[in-house]
Amino acid sequence: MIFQLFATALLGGAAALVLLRGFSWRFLKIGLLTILLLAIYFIWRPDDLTAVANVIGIGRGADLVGYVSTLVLLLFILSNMIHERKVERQLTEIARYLAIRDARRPGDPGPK
Amino acid sequence: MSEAPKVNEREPAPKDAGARRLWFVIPAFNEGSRIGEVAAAILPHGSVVVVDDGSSDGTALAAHAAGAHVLRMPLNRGQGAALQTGLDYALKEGATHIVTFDADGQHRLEDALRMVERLDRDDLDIVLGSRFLGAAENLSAVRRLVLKAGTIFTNVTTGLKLTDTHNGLRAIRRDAAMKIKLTQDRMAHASEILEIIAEKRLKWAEEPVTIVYTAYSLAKGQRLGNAVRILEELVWGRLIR
Repeated sequence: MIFQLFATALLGGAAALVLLRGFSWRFLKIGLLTILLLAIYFIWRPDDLTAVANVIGIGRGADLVGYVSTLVLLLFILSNMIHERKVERQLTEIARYLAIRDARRPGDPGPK
Repeated sequence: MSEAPKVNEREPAPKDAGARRLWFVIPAFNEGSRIGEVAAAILPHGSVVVVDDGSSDGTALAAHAAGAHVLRMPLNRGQGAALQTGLDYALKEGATHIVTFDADGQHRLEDALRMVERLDRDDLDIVLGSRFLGAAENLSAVRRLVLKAGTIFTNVTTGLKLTDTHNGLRAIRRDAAMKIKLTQDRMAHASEILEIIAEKRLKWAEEPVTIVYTAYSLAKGQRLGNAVRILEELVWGRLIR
């Protein structure tokens, strides 16, 4: 019982944060809320999760959580890498723009 | 300031052939002790732009004092990023022929000038230096092996038949240089240039050159472990566009 209460408080707090904080992307907001509410539900009714797991051919609910978490984490890492590459390119573009804008020609005052 | 600014430098490339505007693009990272000497030796033969890739050792100052145009990257963005920046600048300044040259003095000026002559003589888009057609002084057996492996890998992935795929000495004609848009900011840009050559069907040739491996260039230059990093960058570059 202690874990359930603790986890519910934590997830409920997270859900409140998602609701209150301005997540600009509505799709992400709804998705996060759904996951948090489902998590609270299944913490109290683990047998229901096992039933869901059985339907898609996984023995236990806990295993389902493990697999799904791993996949979500991988997707998250991948999307982060793609995002990072994009940011890196933009950074290079800015650096290039500044370098060419501030070019020192021969005879100009020397660089510091 | 050993060279006065040229009055007409801001004008675009002239239409009349024959008026060759040769530019040397030199990416440099912490090459303060050598860059002045390298730039000064080139200057009688063409304009020089040194792209200081966020050095902390006075590279920009030394290059400018020698009479080069100097671009400073506000952040270290890698050799590929610096090279592309220099190409953009040289093109903007009206270059008709561009040489990419290393800052550490391992390339020989006479090789570069011969490659530029060959661009025009053989009507080529790009001439690539090859140390394996020419001579590589003080090249260790291990380094030779790693370079050969890199060459085989790049030949397979680009479909070109080169003898040396990771040589920084190149001569490029203006219209070909305009087609080069490097996205590999760090070390894999050498392979990326070859991919562009293959993709855009540029007319290329290899020219035998001598790479002078001095204690300085060996200490400064690519470590062999970089081969693995180049491979990693290439794989990621292909997976994530």
